[in-house]
Amino acid sequence: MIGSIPDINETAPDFSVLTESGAEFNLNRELTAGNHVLLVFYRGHW
Amino acid sequence: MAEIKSQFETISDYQTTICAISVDSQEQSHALNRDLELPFQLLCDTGKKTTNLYQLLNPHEHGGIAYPGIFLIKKDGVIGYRSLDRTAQRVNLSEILEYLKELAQNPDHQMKSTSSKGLIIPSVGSWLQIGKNMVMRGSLADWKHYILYPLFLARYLLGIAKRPDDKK
Repeated sequence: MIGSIPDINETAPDFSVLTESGAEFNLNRELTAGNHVLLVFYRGHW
Repeated sequence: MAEIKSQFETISDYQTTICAISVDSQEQSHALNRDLELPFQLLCDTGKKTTNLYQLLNPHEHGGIAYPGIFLIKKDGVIGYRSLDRTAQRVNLSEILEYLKELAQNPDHQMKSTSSKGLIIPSVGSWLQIGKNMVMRGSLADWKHYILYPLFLARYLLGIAKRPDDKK
């Protein structure tokens, strides 16, 4: 399973999700704005 | 999370947007942000679509939550750095800061290797955290899972041991 996680030098899969305040976040839109993105997956309230 | 918060300004100076994503609802994320006063946004992958897309969904815990993982996605959309750790309680940011520093000086800078680990033996701290999570936050289903596992394992092993006798 670990081999199929997006790796270094691969294009990051685009996604759209809602922020906690209800706004839409789109990865490619953020990148197009000229910023790198540090994407942190965390376990959540567990 | 606290460590990322402490380095927020340094990371932002490198033209980097920080996004922390989990399968938590907006209400849960909002509560976390209220407690920790995070200076960056929390993303709510309630449908688990993005966690699945990045192959980080752990279906065995609490109905499916994310394995910890961190990606630095360069502005051209290419992943420049990633760190995966199935037991990490906190992320070591020094490597990321070092990478961002190199990237600022040389946009073509590449990491030599991925930080993915094949086999991870949890540290003492991780075991303590796992125990704490079980005691403080474990649901009935989790308790059954942990208590019954040795019984199932014993039954399985006994089953293997008995097989030659059955043939007699």
